[in-house]
Amino acid sequence: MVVTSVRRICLCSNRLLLLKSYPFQVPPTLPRLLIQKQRLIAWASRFSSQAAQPAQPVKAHANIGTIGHVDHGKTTLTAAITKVLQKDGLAKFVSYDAIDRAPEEKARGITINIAHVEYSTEKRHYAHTDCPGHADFIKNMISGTSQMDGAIVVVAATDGQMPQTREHLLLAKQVGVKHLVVFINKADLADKEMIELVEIEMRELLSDFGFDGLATPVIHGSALLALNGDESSFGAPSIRKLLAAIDEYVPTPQRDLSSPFWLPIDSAFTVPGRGTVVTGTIKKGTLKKGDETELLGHGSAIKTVVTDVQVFRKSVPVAQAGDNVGLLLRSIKLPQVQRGMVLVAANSATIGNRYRAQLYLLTRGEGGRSRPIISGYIQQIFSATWNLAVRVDMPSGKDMLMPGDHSDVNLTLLKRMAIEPGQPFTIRENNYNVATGIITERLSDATLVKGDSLDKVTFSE
Amino acid sequence: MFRRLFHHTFNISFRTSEMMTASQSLLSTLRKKTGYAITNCKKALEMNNNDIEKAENWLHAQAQSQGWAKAAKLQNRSTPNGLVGIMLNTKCAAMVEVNCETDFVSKNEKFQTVVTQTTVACFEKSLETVLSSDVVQKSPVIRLGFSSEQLGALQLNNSSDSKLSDFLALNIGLIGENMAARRGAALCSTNSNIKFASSTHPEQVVDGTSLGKYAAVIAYEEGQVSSEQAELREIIDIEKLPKQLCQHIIGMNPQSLEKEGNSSNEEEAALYHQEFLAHPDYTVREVLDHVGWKIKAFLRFECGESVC
Ligand SMILES: Nc1nc2c(ncn2[C@@H]2O[C@H](COP(=O)(O)OP(=O)(O)O)[C@@H](O)[C@H]2O)c(=O)[nH]1
Ligand SMILES: [Mg+2]
Repeated sequence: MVVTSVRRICLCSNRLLLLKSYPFQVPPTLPRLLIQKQRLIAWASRFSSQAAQPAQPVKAHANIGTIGHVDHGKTTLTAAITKVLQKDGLAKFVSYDAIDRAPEEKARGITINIAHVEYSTEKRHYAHTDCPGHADFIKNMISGTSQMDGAIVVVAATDGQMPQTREHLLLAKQVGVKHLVVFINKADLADKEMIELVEIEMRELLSDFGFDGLATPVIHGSALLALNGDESSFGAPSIRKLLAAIDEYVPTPQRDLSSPFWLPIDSAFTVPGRGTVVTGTIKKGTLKKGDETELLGHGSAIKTVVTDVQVFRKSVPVAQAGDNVGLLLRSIKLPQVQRGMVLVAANSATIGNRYRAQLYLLTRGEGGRSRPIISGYIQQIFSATWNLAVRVDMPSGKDMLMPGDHSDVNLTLLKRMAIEPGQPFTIRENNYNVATGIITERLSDATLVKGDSLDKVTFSE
Repeated sequence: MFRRLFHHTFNISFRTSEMMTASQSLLSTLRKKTGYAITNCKKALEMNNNDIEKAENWLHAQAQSQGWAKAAKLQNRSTPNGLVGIMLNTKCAAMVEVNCETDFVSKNEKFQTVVTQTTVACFEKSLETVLSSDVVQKSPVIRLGFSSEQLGALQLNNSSDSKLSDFLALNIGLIGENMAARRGAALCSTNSNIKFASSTHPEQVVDGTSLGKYAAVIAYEEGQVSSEQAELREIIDIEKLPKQLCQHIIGMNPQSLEKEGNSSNEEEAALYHQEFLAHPDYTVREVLDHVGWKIKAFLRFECGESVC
């Protein structure tokens, strides 16, 4: 829970740019080196060109989705929203059938059945996912493809909350969705007493699951009436009310400026006469010229001071999350900087070799293994800009993972790295993706018995 | 920010007071007590002049017939998800597969009860069959199979006049998804040398029944050690071995005990020739020879797999 909220923060600098493809997608080694090179060239050319890109006024963006029991109207509601907004020129109508026939989608190698619909209100731009099933929901969460800032819980007034309503709320809580809006659907088939009872039940249920049941907006309406263009109060107006409630109640994800400074290093080069410059996009926090920082990763932690901060080749006094920067580091030699290192505010982070993670093991059909993995499985892990040997161990009580399973696992890395909870990764065997996951927690370090091999490790649980 | 907070509180307190009447109503009480869909609770009160006790009885009676109606309505919806259940004692090990539409429901308590009840019914029937004298036991281990219809016709163990199919229909009505008891199988033996072991994956135990997406059962015989290996003595934990063998069957999906022909494909699919999952440096045969066991038969179910 904590986990995903942190992940949200670390993704937010990029989310304005990309709807479906998120950062940390890990290309194979060779292309990545090329990208590395291209970035370097891009950076160098920016140094010379001076072209400042005027910032386009962009509407704020949020990711939302529909959850709730089967047949309560999630897909109908999704279609109805686009229908109503189309009238205002804010969306393209997407029919019920088009949403229901959501094609299988490949995200980081896994197949997910999910529909993405896009629309805007006056206030914001939305990417909306209609979640078809538990497995898809889980895969979606672990691959970090479309993380929700808020969700619409659809509940039919005729049934009230049903088993899947509860399961979805639990999952929403687990993936870190904090803000829900309830749509009591099929109000056209119910009377006032029924609707009110469902509302009371839903508020109680939300509170039971740790949401703010009292503050959560609850809207009564009929997705079907709205979809059919009905303008009575349960028709299109109820959808507008719902959208207004989402606009207000679900906060726009913010760039994280208050956390300690964290820069994943894209590349490094030497400026003759001045020293070593590292470049990258600041993930969180702010940095001033003269700040004390630490270069972390691959087993080393080196203190250094940032003696110059450049954005678009111009020296600036401070830079902040989202900025693409070049930083001049005091008394650092180029060979000390390795791919996959991060530069962080001094004493704000440490390196470690053992982490807890959520792992999804791809099925044979998804290009993964046909056989299970057991504790002591050793392969290459790819995350951010680095790759390393990793050992996967099952948590106690589990003996193996079958293809298609997802589970908590413990990872031991060959070298100590600086990794934040929420960081996604993949595991590859012979250049094929066999697993994908996110780091959820730092654990106390493991000792590699043989020093340079993961065959034998000891650790305290 | 402050204004927004204030706005909400104001809004809510207004709403709740307005709704107090509804929350204390008969409808609310009945719904809380029975958990049936709101429309049904409402109808129950109307039909019974707001007598809450009568309404409740009416609801229970309706649930069974409604379950059948719903089951009929949903019977064509596909059921790719579900659970496998296993129950065993010293004479018999039975397993069943029960399907539902979504894996949300496979995590639902009511559905899991359906699976455990089906497992128990299948287990009892298997045991009864083996113990009854009209089955002549030629081989040391007997295999039994149950079709969907055969499972449906089984008696529910806690009430003699209720069939499994009624129970299934009732729960289809309650949960709102189609379900099917797809198949069952059992290994049984009256020979006291034969032992049974089982495993499910991911393992979950509900009311003495193991549930999972995969299940495996072995029937094995302990005997003379034919070739003990010093290195194996260090790594084999005899207590864990039966379960590890079942996990091996789940994970490596063998098709037979021994290979019959000579192709390498067959070798890969023959249990005795496979690398042992828990200790991949040794084959299953090496491990079994080391402890002197013989696997007589095994069963493996994977939920949703195609069966010929
Ligand atoms: N009467 C009525 N029927 C609705 C309403 N919303 C959805 N439905 C119907 O309920 C059924 C299930 O809706 P669907 O959107 O597929 O539900 P989902 O499974 O939650 O996505 C469909 O037959 C819809 O036409 C509504 O507001 N009123
Ligand atoms: Mg749908």
